[in-house]
Amino acid sequence: MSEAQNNEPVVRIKNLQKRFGDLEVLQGVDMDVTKGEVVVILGPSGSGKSTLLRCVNRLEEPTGGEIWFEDIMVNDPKTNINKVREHIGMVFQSFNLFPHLTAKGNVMLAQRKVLNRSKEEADRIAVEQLTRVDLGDRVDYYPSQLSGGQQQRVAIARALAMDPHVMLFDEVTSALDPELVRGVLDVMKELALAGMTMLVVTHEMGFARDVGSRVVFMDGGVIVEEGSPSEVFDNPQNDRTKDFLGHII
Amino acid sequence: MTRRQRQMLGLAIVVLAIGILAWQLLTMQRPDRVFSRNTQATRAAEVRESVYRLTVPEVTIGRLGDVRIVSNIESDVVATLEEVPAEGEGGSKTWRVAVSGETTQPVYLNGNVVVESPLIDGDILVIGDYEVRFADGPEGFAGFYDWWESSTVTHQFLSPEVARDSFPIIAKAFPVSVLIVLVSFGMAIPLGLMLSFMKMAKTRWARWPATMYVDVIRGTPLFLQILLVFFGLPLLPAYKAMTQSLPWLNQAGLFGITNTLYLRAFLVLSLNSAAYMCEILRAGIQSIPRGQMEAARSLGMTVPQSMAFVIIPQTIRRILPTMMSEFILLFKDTALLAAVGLAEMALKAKEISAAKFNTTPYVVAAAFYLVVTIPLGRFVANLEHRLAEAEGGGGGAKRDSLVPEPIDSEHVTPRSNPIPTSGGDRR
Ligand SMILES: Nc1ncnc2c1ncn2[C@@H]1O[C@H](COP(=O)(O)OP(=O)(O)OP(=O)(O)O)[C@@H](O)[C@H]1O
Ligand SMILES: [Mg+2]
Repeated sequence: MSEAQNNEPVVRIKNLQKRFGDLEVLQGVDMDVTKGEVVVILGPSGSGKSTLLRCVNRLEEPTGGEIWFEDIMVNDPKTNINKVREHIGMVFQSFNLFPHLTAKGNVMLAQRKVLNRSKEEADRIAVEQLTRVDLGDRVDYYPSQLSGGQQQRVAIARALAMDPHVMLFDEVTSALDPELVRGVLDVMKELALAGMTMLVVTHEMGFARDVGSRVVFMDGGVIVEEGSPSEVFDNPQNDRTKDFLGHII
Repeated sequence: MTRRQRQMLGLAIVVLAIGILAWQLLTMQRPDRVFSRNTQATRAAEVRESVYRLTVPEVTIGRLGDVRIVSNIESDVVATLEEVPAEGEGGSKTWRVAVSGETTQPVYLNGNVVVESPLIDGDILVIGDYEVRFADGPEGFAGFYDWWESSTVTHQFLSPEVARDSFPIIAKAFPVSVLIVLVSFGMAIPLGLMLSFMKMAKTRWARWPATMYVDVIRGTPLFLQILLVFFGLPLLPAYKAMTQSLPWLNQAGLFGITNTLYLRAFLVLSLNSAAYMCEILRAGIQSIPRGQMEAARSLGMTVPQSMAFVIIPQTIRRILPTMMSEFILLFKDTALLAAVGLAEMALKAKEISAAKFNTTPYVVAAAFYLVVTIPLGRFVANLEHRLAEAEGGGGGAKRDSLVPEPIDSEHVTPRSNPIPTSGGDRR
């Protein structure tokens, strides 16, 4: 975290707006994420956390504002979005592993097709990343043969193999049985310690406090409060934050 | 009971049933029947070749009970064969000939004019131009065979003799049907894929024609489409020009079928099947959870890459059973080509049937279809079963029960959607 941190912004979000029909989901979000930072996004259901994350790699098309990734404007129609996505890893709540491929196959596919790595190199990196998430002995298993926690760690390895500059995590432990959450959080924590820039939507308050370099509280499509974990958790200023944290903790 | 035990029990029952049947057949008593043969060489062509029935238009001899010899040479009934009830216990049945009605031609029995007389084995009746030999039937299997061939239903539909004659002819046409279905099906897959992409396209300029096409093709009988293509296409100047500039088109191709016939068959069947294929593929592609595409795209893969390496491979696994059912349907549909003179199995069967005045060739042809459809159908059922099992665990080659099943329901639910088949359902 702090040792890798400097002031170089990786993701800059300026006045981001997103509408679904008449529904204003994001109503002007501003956020800078600097290199090595772990930004934890909290907020009640429907507050637009997922939408915000999905706008960053343009899985959702913003309806207003700007998103910058390093020196590229992500939501510029002229931007080659596939080039941007190479460098933005994303992990989903529902894992979304490719069920027809083994763990290794999952990690190798985009390396081969997007980064044009050789088979040998992709294989080597896949095994390396799977070992990193503690699945070195499961490389030839199919997703169906893995537990939810193991699947989610494969999904993380799959994103990491692309050497992302930033990782987006959207409630990656929400679909897991409690006893499987730990392993995934441990992997994420190690990642943070290694200096990975991360945007994490989660309900794991322990993780947020422990690993987060900054906590952002969203409600109604705007950021209502942000600060260091201790500021937000121990001394929340906004009523809605207080209310939310009161319910959760 | 284990699966193996059930299989063994089933096998035992089948073996027992076959054994009893065989024993019955081989020990069968002499069947009641009339053995007769027309000896008029000049009429031979008109005589249906068989040992037990005369089917010259003028003379019919049935078997059993009320047997009548009918002649229209002058008057109607000239002679009747009657069964005489057996006298006492164990007495064997005897037969009697009775001549009645107006007749100009006498009925001779063993050379003597007869009006009424008992018949015994070896008697020869001569009625007009026809000679009828009366004989008791053979016993055992030969007797059963005679009974089989002389019984109306079995002879009409399951005559071993006719089957034997038609088998090689229909067998020669078998590869014609197979070739047509293989080529047409092979062409239908890319066409159907293209149509399904058009139907899923964002712009209506792609969606609209594809939807129209699929609706029209699926909404009209294949038979009409065949008639249209086979009789309509040759009238088109462009088609005429093509066949003129490519003379090999009008020559006989593989298995003796004219190439233009093949061309039109491939065309109409693949165009038809593509419409069904389109719906099968579309339903299959749309059944893949959205997250798959999102995951692929979030890794920087383009839409075509995501389709080719993530979506389509999963789709194929899901729709394979439906696709194979479509293949079976198409294979059966090749029989419709008989109506436009393509000499595939059904047409060959029809020709033999007309010549022999017997419907057994159709049954032979049906058997040829079954040789393909039943194993393939079994295979599809098996595959469906295996895929359904794998759905819970999507698995591949490495499934083994020691490996934990997926624990969270969140992930399993989308994949356990039933494989959509409605899209491809036909007729
Ligand atoms: N594709 C969509 N079409 C229409 N509405 C959508 C779509 N995606 C999200 N929304 C709406 O946008 C709002 C915000 O959704 P979002 O998923 O960003 O919330 P969230 O903060 O991630 O909530 P949760 O904690 O439940 O995941 C919700 O009201 C949701 O119904
Ligand atoms: Mg969400």
